Amino acid sequence: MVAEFIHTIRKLRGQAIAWSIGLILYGLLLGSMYDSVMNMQGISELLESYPQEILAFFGGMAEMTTPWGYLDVEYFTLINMIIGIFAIGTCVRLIVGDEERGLLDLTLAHPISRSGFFWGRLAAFTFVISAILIISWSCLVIPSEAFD
Amino acid sequence: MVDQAAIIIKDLHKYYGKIHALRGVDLEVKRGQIFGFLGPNGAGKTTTIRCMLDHIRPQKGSIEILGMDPQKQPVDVQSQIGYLPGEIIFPENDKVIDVLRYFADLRQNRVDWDFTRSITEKLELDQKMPVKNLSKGNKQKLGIVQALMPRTKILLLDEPTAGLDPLMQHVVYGLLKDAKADGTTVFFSSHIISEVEAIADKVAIIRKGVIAEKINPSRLTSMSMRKIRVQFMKKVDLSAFSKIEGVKIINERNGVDVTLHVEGEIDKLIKTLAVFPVRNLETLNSSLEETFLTYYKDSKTEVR
Repeated sequence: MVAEFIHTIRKLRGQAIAWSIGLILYGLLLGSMYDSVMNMQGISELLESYPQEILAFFGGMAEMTTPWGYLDVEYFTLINMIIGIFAIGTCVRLIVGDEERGLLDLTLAHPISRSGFFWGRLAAFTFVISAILIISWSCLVIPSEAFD
Repeated sequence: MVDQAAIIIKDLHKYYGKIHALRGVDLEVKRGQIFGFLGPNGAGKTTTIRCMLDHIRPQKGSIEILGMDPQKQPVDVQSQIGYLPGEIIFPENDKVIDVLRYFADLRQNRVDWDFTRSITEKLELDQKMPVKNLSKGNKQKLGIVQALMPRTKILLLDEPTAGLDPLMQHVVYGLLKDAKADGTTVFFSSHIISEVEAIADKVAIIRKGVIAEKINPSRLTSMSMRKIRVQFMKKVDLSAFSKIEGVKIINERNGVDVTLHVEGEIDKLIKTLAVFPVRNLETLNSSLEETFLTYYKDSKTEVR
């Protein structure tokens, strides 16, 4: 299980770095835009003119003019979707993809139980996703705390 | 314990849906033997091997490997087995050495790296090559290296020389004989008669999901069938040939171009041919399936 965990992390390393950088850049972009968005003329009026359903769909848009409300709408709502694309694709490929390509035949002939194999890969996957989220989140929050 | 068999398979049945792939396979492989598992495509060789690894489960019958049941102790059984699949696929982006390291890690790194390096060199496989740049033969070599690398007590090899040129085939035969000298039991499948004859101590022939015969490899030549084409310089009377035992004329053109089936020893045919003006003589490859068809059609009662 440990061997499979390490192997999977090694395999995902490149993708994880690329996604982290992307998310950090996205966070920095949003951060730098905060002031200009807040200074836009009539932003509150614009928000009020939207139907309730739309506001509910994007979640807490009424508070968009506060820093956390802004992040909530622009960052945390979207990041679910962005990370979701990565998560579903990677997770499916890790086991089903390898199975379909015929890679698992030889791997499972080695002294590793099927549950050990499964949990090893799943743990590595969870670890990588958490790492991406924590890194990109810290890069967003730590600088903004520092500037406050 | 010394006399205990390495592999015992009893009355193994496997269905794929309605297809009855194994119809009661019985096998016993002694420790330290090179055991050839011969059979045409689709006879059940790979299915039997996959049952031994607990990759698929038979509906009926039992398997014992070094006294263990693969269904009850799969990990213990797998740790004693070096396996080469018939269809081999590796992650395309990895280098040869990365693939070997990964498989070694799956065995808690219980691998003799000096030995691994020496067999990689014997097979002329470059460890730094990425898998995607390897030819089919080189991928096969990588498969052989990863199977031999942990020096397990048992080797299960599904068509080990597939895709290799004759020179490399002989290197592989040498490696298998070395493994035998170390006390390893080698179980390999093949559909090439000459290969089994060259290295096996014992042969089982599987056909349509049952073991048709368990024999010593020396008997393979006498039961094998050749297809021979003879071209004469002028028209000859062919009746002399059809009288020879084991020879059958399967095709002839104008009495000058004849194709013959020859079962067993070729001696009598050569002696008969000697009196005729022969322009050309060639042995055509006949598949194992052809050999089987002829052998079992003609000598059903003779099967020992």
